[in-house]
Amino acid sequence: MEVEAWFRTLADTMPVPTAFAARTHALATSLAFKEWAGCHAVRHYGAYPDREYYALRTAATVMDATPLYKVDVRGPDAARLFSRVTVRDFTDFAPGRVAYTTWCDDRGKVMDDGTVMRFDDERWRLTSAEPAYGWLAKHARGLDVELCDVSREVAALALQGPYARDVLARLVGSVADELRYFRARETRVGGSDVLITRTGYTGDLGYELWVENADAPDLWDAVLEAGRPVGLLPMGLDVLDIARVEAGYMLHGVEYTSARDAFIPRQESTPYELSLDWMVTLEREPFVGRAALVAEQRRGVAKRLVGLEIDWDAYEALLEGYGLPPALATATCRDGVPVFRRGKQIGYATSRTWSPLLKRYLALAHVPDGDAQPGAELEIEVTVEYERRRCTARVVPLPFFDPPRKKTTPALTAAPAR
Amino acid sequence: MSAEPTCEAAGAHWDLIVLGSDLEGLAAAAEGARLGLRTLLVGGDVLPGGTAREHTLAPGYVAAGLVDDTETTARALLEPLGLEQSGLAWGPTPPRYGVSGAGTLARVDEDAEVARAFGADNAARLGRWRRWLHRVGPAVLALWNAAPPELVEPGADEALRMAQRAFALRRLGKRDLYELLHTAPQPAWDLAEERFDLGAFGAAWTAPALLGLPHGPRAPGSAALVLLDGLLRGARPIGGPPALARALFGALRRFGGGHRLGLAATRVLLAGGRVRGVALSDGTELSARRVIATEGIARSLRQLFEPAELPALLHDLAEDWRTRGTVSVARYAFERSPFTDLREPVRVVSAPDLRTLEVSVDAHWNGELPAAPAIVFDLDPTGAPGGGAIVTAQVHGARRPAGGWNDARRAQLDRLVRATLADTSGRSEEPVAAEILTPDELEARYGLDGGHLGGGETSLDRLWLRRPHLAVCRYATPIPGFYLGGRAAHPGGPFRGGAGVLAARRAVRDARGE
Amino acid sequence: MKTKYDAIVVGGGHNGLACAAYLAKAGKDVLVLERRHVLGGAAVSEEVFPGFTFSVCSYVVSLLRPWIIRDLELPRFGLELIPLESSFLPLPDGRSLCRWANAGDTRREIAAFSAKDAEIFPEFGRAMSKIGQFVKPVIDSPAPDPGSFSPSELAGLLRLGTRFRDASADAMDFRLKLLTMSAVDLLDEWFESEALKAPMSVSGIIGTFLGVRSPGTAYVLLHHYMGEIDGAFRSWGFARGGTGSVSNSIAAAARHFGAEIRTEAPVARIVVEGGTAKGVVLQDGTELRATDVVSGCDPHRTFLGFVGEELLPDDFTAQLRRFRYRGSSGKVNLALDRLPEFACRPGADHLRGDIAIAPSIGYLDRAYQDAKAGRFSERPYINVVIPSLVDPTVAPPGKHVMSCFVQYAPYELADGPAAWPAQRNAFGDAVVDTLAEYIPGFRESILHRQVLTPWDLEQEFGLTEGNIFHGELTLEQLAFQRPVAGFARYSTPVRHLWLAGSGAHPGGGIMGAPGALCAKTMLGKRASAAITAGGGR
Repeated sequence: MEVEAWFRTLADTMPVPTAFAARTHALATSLAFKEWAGCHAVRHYGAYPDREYYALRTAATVMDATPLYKVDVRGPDAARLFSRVTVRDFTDFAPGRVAYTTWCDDRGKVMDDGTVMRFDDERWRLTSAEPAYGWLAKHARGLDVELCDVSREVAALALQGPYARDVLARLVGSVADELRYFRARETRVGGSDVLITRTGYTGDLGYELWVENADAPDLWDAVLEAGRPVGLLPMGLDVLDIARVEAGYMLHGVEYTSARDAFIPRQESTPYELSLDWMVTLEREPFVGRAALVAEQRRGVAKRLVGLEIDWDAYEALLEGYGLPPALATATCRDGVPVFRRGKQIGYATSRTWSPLLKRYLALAHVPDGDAQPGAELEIEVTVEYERRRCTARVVPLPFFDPPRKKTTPALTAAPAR
Repeated sequence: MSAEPTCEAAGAHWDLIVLGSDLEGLAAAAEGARLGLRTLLVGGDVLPGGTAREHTLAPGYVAAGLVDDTETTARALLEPLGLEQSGLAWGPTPPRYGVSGAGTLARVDEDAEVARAFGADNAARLGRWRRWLHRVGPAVLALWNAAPPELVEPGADEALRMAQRAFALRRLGKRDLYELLHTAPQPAWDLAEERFDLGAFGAAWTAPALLGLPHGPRAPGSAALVLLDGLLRGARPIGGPPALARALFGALRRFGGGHRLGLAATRVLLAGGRVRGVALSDGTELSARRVIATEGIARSLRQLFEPAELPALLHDLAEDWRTRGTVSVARYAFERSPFTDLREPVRVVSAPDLRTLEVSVDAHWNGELPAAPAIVFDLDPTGAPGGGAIVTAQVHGARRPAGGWNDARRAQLDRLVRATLADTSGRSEEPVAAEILTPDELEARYGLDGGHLGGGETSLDRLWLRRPHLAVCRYATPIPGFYLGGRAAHPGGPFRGGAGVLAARRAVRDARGE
Repeated sequence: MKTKYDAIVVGGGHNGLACAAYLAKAGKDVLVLERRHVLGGAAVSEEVFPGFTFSVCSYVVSLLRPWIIRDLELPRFGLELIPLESSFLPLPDGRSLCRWANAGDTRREIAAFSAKDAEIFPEFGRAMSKIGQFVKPVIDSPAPDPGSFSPSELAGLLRLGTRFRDASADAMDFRLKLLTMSAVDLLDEWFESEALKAPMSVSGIIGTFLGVRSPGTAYVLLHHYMGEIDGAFRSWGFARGGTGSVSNSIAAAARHFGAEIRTEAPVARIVVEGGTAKGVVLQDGTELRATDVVSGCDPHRTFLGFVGEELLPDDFTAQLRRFRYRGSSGKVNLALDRLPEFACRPGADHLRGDIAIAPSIGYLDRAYQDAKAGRFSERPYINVVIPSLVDPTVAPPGKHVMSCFVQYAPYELADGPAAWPAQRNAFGDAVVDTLAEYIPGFRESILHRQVLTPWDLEQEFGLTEGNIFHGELTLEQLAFQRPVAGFARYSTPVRHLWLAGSGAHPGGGIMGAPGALCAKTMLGKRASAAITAGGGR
C-alpha cells in the first residue's frame, strides 16, 4: 500500500512511472534510474550491468520499453499518410507487417526514427523516440485517418535474447512459431490482449509486447514466470545501449540530432548520411523531404554513418606505454570524439563500446563518403591519463553482431532449467 | 462577352499560365503577353473579372464590381499596358466625404470645405499632410511600385538597387526620414491625433484605409495604411473595376495572349520538382514552364498541389496566412439617390470619430454585430438610371457574430446600414434592390479566402517584405516556375493590379535568364 | 558640503545608479540625488506595513544584463537573484496549467490541453532563443541611427543588416514578423490551446496601451527567452529582499567606487547656461555644479520638468510632446494572513513562480476594451507573485506578501486622470474580487492592502502618466527613436545633459542597460574611460 502511495506521489512530478514501475522499481536494487522520455527508466537492476548483458546474449531478458512515443492511426488512408510522411513506401504494406523507418522535414533532415506496425486493414501504429503526433497531424490534411496519441496508455515490454522464443511459446503457444521477423500478431496472454511484434533493439532474437497500461503488471509477472526456466532477467538501459551498438543501431539524440532540436544546420543529418539508403524509396508519390533527398542523391552524399573497430592491439600498446592494463567499463560512451585520417580530422565517433561478447572495441562514426568503405584505415582520439592520443581504427561493415537467430526463428530449444 | 466557356487558345503549350481572372490575374496575363511570353489566362468563371465584374442588382441597376477600390489602382505599374488603347479612360479621384459635427456631409479632401465643416485647424493640418506626402511620396512610391528587395540572396545588381533606394530614402533629409520612420509603425489613432483629429475628419481619412484590417485604429502599423492610402489614392477608371477588367482583358488579347475561361485549374503539374503545366477540371493538361497563381493563398496552395509536394514554407504559409475578413458588404439600388446632389462616384465615410471605428472592430472580436458601425459608403450614380444610384457599404467589424449568420442577423445588419445611410444622407429612401454579403457569402460566392476583400489582412506584419512571406515576396516560390501574384502578394490588398504585373515581370525575367 | 562634481545624476533609480557606478568606476567624481527617502525609484523595496516588505512597483527582475552584474560585481554588494520556477495559470473551470523551468514537466502539463502544443513547445523555445541571439547585441549597445550619414553610423547599420541577413530565409522572416506581429497571431501560428496562448500573450502588452492582438506585441515574447542564452542567469527572477535590493546593490557598488549618494534631496531644476548643463538646483535652494548632468528620470520630467521648454529647440519639444506614455497598469500589494490556496490546484509548489490571471484571449480582449473606453478593467489581467514563498525575509513567519501587477488601469480615465483617487478603492476591489474567484476565502486572508493606480505612480514615483517604462515600448518609440529620433544616444539638445533612464534605448524593465550604456557613451566621448568592456560589444 505504501509503495502505491509513493507511486501516486511520483505520478505528480516528472519523470513519471510507467505502468511497469511497481514491478521494475522493486527489483532495481541499484537505485540506478534515468529519465527516458519523461519516465523513470532503470539503468541496471543489480549493482553492475554485466549479468544482464550475458543474460541478453545467452538466455533472455525483459525490458520496460514503455516510454517510447506511440501514435495509433486508423483509417483507409493510413498507408498514404505513412508514405507521405516517412521515407519508406507503405503502399503495399500488408496487415501484420512491421517496418523500421525514419522521417524528415522538408529539407530532408532526419527528425526521428521508429517503427510502423499494421495490425489489420484499418489499424496502424507508429512508435518514435520523440512525440510525432503533431507532425503526423500536420501532414494528414485531406486524408481519411484518425490519429490518437497512445503514448501514455500503451505499455511495452521487450523480450529479447536467444531463448526469447521459448519464453514466448510458454505464454502464447504456437503463435510464437508463426511470427516471422518484423511481423506483428494480436493475441491474448492470460486475460489481456497483447500485440506481439517480432522486433527489437538488441540485434538478437526478440519480441516486443504491447498492452494496455492496466494489463501491464500481469504481463510482466507472466513473462518473468515463463522466463524463470531459461534464466530470464530484467534488463536496464545500460545494456541496451551496448547491445544496440553491437547491432549497429543508431540512437536518436546520439548518432543524430533531430532537425527539430538542431540549433544550426551542421547538427542535422539526412537519411543517406545515416546510411539508411536502403529504406528510402524516391521513385514514388511525393513525400516530405523527397525533393531535397533527390537533390542530395544527384549531388552525392557527403558523409556516412559507419562502424568503426578500434585496433585492440594498438589500444593495448598505447596504454602499455603508460604502464596501464587495458580496462573498459561495460557501458557505451556517448561523448563524441574526433576521427582522423593521416592526422587530419575528418569526422567524429558518437558511440563507443566494448563488446564483452565479441571482445572488440566498437564505435559508430560519421566520416566522409570517401572514407566510408570497409577496410579504410582511420584513427580515433582516445584519452589516456588526461592526455589526448590517437589510436588506429578500421571501418568495418555494420552490424558488428548479427546472429542468424536475429532474423530466422530457430526451432524450440529444450531450454535447460536453471 | 458570352456566357459559354470561352477558349481563345491555340495549342496546349505555353510559356506562362496565369490562374485566376480577377484584376491581378488579368494584369499578370496582359503583362506576360506584352513582354513576349506565350501566355494563357485560365479562370474558373466563364467571364473574366472576378470581384471586378459587373453585378446587376435589378434591371437597369448595375454595381461596378463587388467593391470599388480602383482609386488605389497601381496605375504606374499598369502604364506600359496602354490600357487607354483598350478603351480605358481615367476619371477624377472620387471625392471623399465625411460627416461633420453639425451632421452635414462635407468633403474632407478639399481645403475650403474642410475649413468650413471641420474647422480652420483641420484645413491647415490637411495642407501640412499633403505637403508632407508630396515630399516623401516619390521615395516611398519608388519602393512601393516595385518588387520588395531581395534580402535572402541578393546578387550584386540587386544590392546596388537596394543601395540606390536606401539612398533615395535618406535623401529625404533627416527630418522627413525620421518622420516617415515614426509614422509607418504607428497606430492610425496616433497619426490622426498628430495629423488630423480624432473626430469625423480623422475618421474619414482612417476608416477606408483600415478596411483590410481585423483591427481598429489603435493597432500599431495601421498608420502605414493611412499613409499609403494618402499616397496612392488617385484617378478612378471611368466605369470602375469592370472597365479596368475589360481593358486588361483587351490588352491581353491585343498582345496575343490566350485565355480559357470556365474551367478551373485543379492541379499544378510538376516534373522533377519544377512546374510543367496545369491540369484543368475537365482533365485537360496544359503544359507551361511557369504558372502564376493569383487567387487566394490558401486556395492556391492547398488545392493546386499534393500536400507532400508542398515545401514546408508554403505548407506553413497556407496555414498561417490570415484572412479574417471583418467587413461585410451591403449594396443597394436606389431609384432616387439618397445623395441627390452627388452626380459622380464618391466615397462617404460614416464614422463620427475614431473611437467608433475602434469599437466596430472590437464587436467582431466579441462575437457581436457592431451597434453603431463605422461604414464606408461608395456611391455610384452612373450605375443606375438618371437620379438613381448604387450604394455599396463596407461595414467595419461585421464578420461573423457568435452563432453565425442567420436571417435575423442579416436583417439587423441591413437595418443598421440603412439607418446609417439615412442619417448620413439626411434622406430615407427605399431601395429597389438590396443585397447583404457577409464574409461567409463573399467566400462562397467570390471564392475569397476567409471572405477577406483584399486577399489577406494588411497588418503591419503582412505588408511589403512579408506579403506573403519574406522568401516569397518577390513572387517566385520555392517551387521553380510557380509564382504567387494575387492580392496576397505585394502590393496587393486594395492596390489593384500591381501584384499581377510584378509577378509577370518576375516570371519573364526568370524565363529570359534560362 | 561639496558643491562641485564631475557628474551629477538626478534620480536614484536603478538606471541612474548604474550610470553613476560606471562613471565612478572610471574615476569620476559622481553625486546621485534622490528625491525620496529610499533608493531605487520604481525598483524599490519598502516595508509598507510593519513586517511586510514589498517590491512596491517593479516586482520581478527581468533582463538585468549579466555584463552589468559582472562589471559592477553586484553579488559582492548584496545582489541575490532567485529564478522564478514556474508560471501558473488557474482557470475558472477548475483546470490549470503550470509551465515549469523543467521542460519535461511543462510538456506534460501542456499535453493535458493539447498533445500538438506539447510536442511543438520546445521547438518554439528554440526558435525564440535563436532570435534572442540576434537581438541581444541590439539591446546591449547604443542604437544605430538610420538618419545619420556619418561613416561609423553607416557601418553600424550595415553590421546590423549583415547580422540580420546571416540566416535562412525562414529565420529572417521570423525575425521580421516578430517585430511586427501581434502576440496572439504569432502564438496562433504555433499553438491551438488558449490556456497556453493567453498567458504567454500578455507579456507583449505589459506597460503599453495595447491589446494582445495589437501588431508589434509579439516582440516582447522574446524577452522570456533571452535569459536562457545569457547563460549566467535565467530570464525572470526575484531579488532576495525585493527588487529594491537590485538598486541597493548597484548603489553599494557605486559607493564602493567612490560615488556619493544623497536621498531626500529633490531637484528643482537643472541649470542650463548657454545651451550647456552646468549643474542642478535643489528644492531647498542649494546649487550644485557639475561638468555633466545625467537624468535617470523620464524624458517628460527631465526636459519639461527640470530643464524647461524655453531652453529647448521647438522641434525637439514638439517631438517630446508626442512621445507617448499612456500608463496602463496599476499595482496592488497585499499582506496576507496565510498562503492563498487556489481551488483548481491546492498546494504551494506551483505558486513559487508567477501566477497569471489570463484565462482566455477573449478575457484579455475585454479587459483592453474597458481601458479603451476609459475605465479600469472590470476583470483585469493580473500577474501575481508571492515572493515570501521563496524569500522569507519579506514577511513575518507564516504570513505572506502578494504582489499583483494589474492591467488595464488606464491613466486617462473617461473623466480624466484626476478621477483616479476616487476610484482607487474600486480598482483594488476589482483585483481582489477577481482573485477571490479562484481562491476561496481570499478576502478574509487579507491583512493590509496597498493600491497604486497610474495616478499614484505619477504622483509618488514621478512616472509620467504612470508609465512604468518611462514611455511606451512601441515600435516607433524604440531604438533610434527613443525618446526622440536623433537623440537616442543618451545625449540631448542640451550639451552635457544626458538621459540614462528607461526612456532611453533599450528601454524599460530592470535591465540596467540604459544607465550603463549612457555612462559608457559619456566616457567614450572623452576617451578617458578605463572601464572594462564588459558585454557592451
